[in-house]
Amino acid sequence: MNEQFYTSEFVERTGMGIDSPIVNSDPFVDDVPVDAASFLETPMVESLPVVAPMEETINHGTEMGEMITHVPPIVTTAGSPPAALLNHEVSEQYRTRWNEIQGKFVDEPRVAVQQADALVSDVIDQITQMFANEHGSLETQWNQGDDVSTEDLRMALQHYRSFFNRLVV
Amino acid sequence: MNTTYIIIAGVLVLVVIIALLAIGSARRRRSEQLQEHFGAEYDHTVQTMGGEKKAQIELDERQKHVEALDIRPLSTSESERYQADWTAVQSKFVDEPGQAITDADHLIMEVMQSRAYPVSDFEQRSADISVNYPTLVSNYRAAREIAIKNQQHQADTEELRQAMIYYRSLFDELLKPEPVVA
Repeated sequence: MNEQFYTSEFVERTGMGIDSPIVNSDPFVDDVPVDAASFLETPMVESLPVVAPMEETINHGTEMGEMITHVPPIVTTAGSPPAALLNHEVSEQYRTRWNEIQGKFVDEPRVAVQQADALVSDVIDQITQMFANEHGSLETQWNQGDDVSTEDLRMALQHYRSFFNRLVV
Repeated sequence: MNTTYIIIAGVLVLVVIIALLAIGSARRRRSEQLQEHFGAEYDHTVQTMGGEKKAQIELDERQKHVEALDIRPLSTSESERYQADWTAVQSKFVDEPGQAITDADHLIMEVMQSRAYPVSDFEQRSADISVNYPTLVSNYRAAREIAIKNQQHQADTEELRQAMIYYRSLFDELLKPEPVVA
């Protein structure tokens, strides 16, 4: 049952570098703005895996551990400490669409507003989908009667907190 | 002897008549040329100058003034840079419509200066514009009016949006290598 977490931790360690105090002390913590800020100044940041792990979770969405621990705030939102919910590539795509819409306003105000509405809906759908995908696997980790260890519950709560923190920045 | 004088006088009269006809037709042709070139701007000038003759003199002077300038086309890189600037200004409209209008106006001035139009007041600028872009000078003036109205906080968002489109119609042409009407 804990395999997923170990795997995640392993990947996280290798991904972020084992000399990272954050990783060693608590691999699942992703809301560490103070450390994240200092992280940005270290050259190590460049070697971090940026997109791939996150993308996987978006596509398959089965591994909550992957999803949460693989998107350290430092990587996905360079310059701003809070974690980004969407990975860099996806964010950029949305941002490009937004810029096009905003540029269009002068020529077609109504169309621009309609498209903005559609874009925001898309983003919300995407986030909803992300949560729905992870919700299932996460639920199996704690919703199995009395057969779940406190440690698993603790882990599960951390995962929820991670998602929560990224929703409520 | 008498007949010689009469013949000479007759010839002179004829020459004068022909000369007058020639001048008249040349003036008409010039008038037609101006009318054809300036289109609606011709009528506008007649109105503002208060007479066709004055308008023709004015338009004639404008043409001579612009011909004396060494207007140059923008390089590709300049043109691309200005296009990017415009995109930014247009995008800014959503947050600061009034400022976007001001920026658009400044951007047009900047492009004009890059193309070697002289730095001058709006009247002179629009006069110069009217020579090479006679169909667009009315847009330029309309945008200007809205911009002034906006300074008095009396322009609504839709008017400002119109101003933006007016400005762009001229801006786009200024970026092209050759004016619409040579």
